[in-house]
Amino acid sequence: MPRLTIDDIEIEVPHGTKVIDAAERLGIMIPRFCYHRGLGSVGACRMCAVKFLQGPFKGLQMSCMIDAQDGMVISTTDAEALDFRRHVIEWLMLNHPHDCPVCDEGGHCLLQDMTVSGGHGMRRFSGEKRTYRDQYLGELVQHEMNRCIHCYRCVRFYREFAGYRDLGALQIAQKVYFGRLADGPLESPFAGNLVDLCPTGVYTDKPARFRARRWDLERGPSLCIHCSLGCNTVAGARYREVLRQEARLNEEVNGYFICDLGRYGFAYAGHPERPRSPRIGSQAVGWQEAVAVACDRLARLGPRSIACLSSARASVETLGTLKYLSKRVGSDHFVCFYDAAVKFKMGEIVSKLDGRTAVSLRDIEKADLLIGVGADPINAAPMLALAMRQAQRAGAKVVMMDPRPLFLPCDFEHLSVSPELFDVCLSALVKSTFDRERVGKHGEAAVTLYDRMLSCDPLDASVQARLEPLIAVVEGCRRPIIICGSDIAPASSVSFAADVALLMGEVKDQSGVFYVLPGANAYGAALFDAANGSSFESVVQEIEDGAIKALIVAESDPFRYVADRDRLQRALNKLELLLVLDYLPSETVRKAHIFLPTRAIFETRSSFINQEGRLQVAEKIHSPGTPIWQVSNKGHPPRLYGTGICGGEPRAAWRVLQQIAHTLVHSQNEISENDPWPVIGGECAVLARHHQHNGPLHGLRIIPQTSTAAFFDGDLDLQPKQPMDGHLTLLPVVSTFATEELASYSEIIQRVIGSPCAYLHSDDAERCGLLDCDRIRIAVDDGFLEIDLTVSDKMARGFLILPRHSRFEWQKLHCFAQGLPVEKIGNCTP
Amino acid sequence: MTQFDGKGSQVTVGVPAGRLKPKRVRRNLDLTLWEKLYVFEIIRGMYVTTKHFALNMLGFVLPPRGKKRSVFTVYYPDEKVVLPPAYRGRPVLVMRPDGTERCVACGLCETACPGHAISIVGAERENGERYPLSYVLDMTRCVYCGFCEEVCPKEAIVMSSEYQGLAETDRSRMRYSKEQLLRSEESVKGRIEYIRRIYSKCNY
Ligand code: SF4
Ligand code: SF4
Ligand code: SF4
Ligand code: FES
Repeated sequence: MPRLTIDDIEIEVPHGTKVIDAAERLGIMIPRFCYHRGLGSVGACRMCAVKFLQGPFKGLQMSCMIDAQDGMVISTTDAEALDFRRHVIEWLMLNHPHDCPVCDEGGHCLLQDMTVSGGHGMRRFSGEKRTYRDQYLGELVQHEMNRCIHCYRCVRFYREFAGYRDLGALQIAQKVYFGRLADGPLESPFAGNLVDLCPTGVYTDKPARFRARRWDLERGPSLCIHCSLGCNTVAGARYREVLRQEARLNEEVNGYFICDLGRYGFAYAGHPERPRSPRIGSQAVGWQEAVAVACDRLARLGPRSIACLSSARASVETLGTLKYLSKRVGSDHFVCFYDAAVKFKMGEIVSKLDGRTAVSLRDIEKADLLIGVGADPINAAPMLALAMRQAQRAGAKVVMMDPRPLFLPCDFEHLSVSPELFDVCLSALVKSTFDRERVGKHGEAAVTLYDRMLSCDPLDASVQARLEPLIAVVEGCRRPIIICGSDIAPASSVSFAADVALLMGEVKDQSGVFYVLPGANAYGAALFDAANGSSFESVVQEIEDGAIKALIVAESDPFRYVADRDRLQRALNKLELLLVLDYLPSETVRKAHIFLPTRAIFETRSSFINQEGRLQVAEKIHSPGTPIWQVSNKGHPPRLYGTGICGGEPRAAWRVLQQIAHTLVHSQNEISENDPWPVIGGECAVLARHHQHNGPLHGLRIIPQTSTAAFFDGDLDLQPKQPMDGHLTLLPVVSTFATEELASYSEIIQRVIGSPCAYLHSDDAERCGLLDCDRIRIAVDDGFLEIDLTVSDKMARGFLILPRHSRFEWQKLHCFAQGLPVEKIGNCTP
Repeated sequence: MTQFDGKGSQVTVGVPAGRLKPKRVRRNLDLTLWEKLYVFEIIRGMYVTTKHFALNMLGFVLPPRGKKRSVFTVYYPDEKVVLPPAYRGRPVLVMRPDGTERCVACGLCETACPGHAISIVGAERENGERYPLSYVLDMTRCVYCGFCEEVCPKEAIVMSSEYQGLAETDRSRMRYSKEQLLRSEESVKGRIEYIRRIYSKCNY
């Protein structure tokens, strides 16, 4: 480890640390524009010059380009360095417009800081400045090219780091231009990071334009709850409304970046129709009355007649307190997953994920082989795709088994097999890596499984031919990771992936399994929900039978998930009480008998557990209230003189639920009113360990070191199935930005999502007489669904892939009639 | 000195703008005993008061000296006082010759205002210019400190010498919109010249 001296302070840093980073460890911030730890150095801006006094380098050098080495003595405040940096600023400012007052970066602009701190106050240059024409880059990012200082951060991120090609450096010399060849929305779902990265105001946050300066914002650490990765963000709110989000560095989770869904998906919390006051029927009432009436009606019902529903978007606090309430009222039903298959898979995942196999996104970047099993990273967990690209850039091989026409911003081997074949393919891929002796360490069951893997029949020739070269790669790799989805992947694959990861751990340096889960807190929901036998289906059944008379729905919307809405509606009509707690203007909220408004993630401290079992906390950013922008009709804050905040009624769901529980069972004593964690700890043993005085520890993995679940399922069916000829299976899948529930209430996201589009293999299309860009209709029970068709040959045969898109009623798909369901009705809507 | 400007209704108070120079203030608090007694200063003050009092009493009967009248009292509202440019009255927005505002909705005045009197909603014109869609000044909150004027990079808000209508019986009427605040450049020329002179001396 090299030791060096910077400004008379000695420091020892790991090999490969740049001098600029070494200084930062000492708290010396060397000015920089082009250097970014996430992107590496290029030495484009010359701003980080420091004086090297002793050691292998001498004189003025760029601190971002030089690795720290033994014996270096460096001065950052040497007169020559200071003078150099002052000149750099001055020449960068030659062409930079004096437009800070109209620039949205003003207030958090690196160039502004450097200019002011560098003492460059007066311009000596009086010539003409270089000007450019700006481009339209879509609804998320605003372009203003005159402000560019040519640090190349944007293209380095966009092309090298993220792997998209539609933005780049154009022209030469004095005229270098950063943009697209033609106006048009940026294609990358990570484009929002340009806003954070650009040290000047070339790319600014378009939805937040003109709304606030950095110092106007109430900022705080928050989380993205749009997918299961749980990326860390900084949310900034002003006038009771979140205006923008930025990526927050978390080395283990998202790194320096987030995807556009995380950045722009926040608008659901300020939805204009968000219900903000308690209601009984359609009558707005006060909190006290609403809670009293709810408690009164619940108390009149028998113990077994109450069911509780929640979802994977509810926080740990909400789930834990609801579980507590459900136990206290003697309810048998606590349901977080509407789909029984998903619930089963979640149970498997929660029981099998442990310290031996769980990996973070950072581990993925370091892996040298990634095997995807029914996972579609770009659509289901975008930042995962970015991590996979980093692995691939570092030389990893990426193999994806998936029937979908996958897209990834990196090279990958696509085995377009049907979900039934995942296990067989995975087994064929990895079996030669193991040997009986090491497998034997995991017991009898492991050996049995290994034998079945060895003895299974070969796959069909085309797949086998694709597999052959990959098998060698698997044998040669040292750090393989299996990435497993949880929507289209069958339950057997979900547990088989964990088994394989565990066995791989024996023969490789490091191995792991990375699950992609159906919701921000799916892991948390499964912790509370898994051990219980009830399902949503049984709840509906019992409501119809009259056994369940009251339904408590906390931050969930069954109407969004069930296929047969009429049946659900009829069932809900039979209820004596439908008590709904939520912050979205959902269908269920509209139907509620009693509605209690709750706080969104920005308005209360809440915790979520991501897909690797990491518990993360989002702090409260602002107090709830109708955004002033809405109260004043996009105008100025009305200076109304009065008490209370307009629309400030929402309360944290856990508080309300706890209050209801206490009123019902009259036990005030042991529970604290201000801390949900004693209650949560009581409901979930795993979380009880993390019950501290200040709530949970942020960023802690709550998975066990060694899981006690039964690995190596003996019943695993490893025989390849013959595809049924001429049969089309409908496969509803997630679709970037368009599937997620919260995003469907976010106006900004709704503006940018494309129209839904179905995929069909070209052979199947030919058989059905369909062409690319046809508009098709699909027969369902009560009528038809219409959608545009894309024909692809990069997918599995025998599937019609349909997006769970917010503008497509995918919920109806289950009742699809047999036979040829698809017919053409015209051409694509433009 | 009160000067009668001959028009009959306008009276200018104080030193004319051109002659005003920032005064060097002696900040030496080690006063001598004589200074500590303030006797001389008190006598000087009493002299001024007495002079004004006497002249006001007698001014009506004494003949005017030349054009000047000897009375100090201004007959408001029949006569209006024209205050010197250094006076900080109602902050107003400066209008460009084409009728639009100079303000670019940068939000600096909003930030600098210690009373949170200003709220701005920015927007963009067709030609890409940023401008305040709404600019609201809540005069119940304004403390006439002039910070907004000082921070404004566009000389778009200035402290005019308007002093009329600053008090109301209804608070809602003290919220001024952009339209109510716009003044022609001509009418605030004196103040703009003044602030250029004053603020150019400051080294930020
Ligand atoms: S646009 Fe921004 S990020 Fe890109 S080179 Fe210019 S200053 Fe750097
Ligand atoms: S990858 Fe997922 S968690 Fe991360 S920002 Fe995107 S949607 Fe949010
Ligand atoms: S400081 Fe000046 S330009 Fe900026 S918002 Fe205020 S009045 Fe407008
Ligand atoms: S930061 Fe080192 S040259 Fe730009």
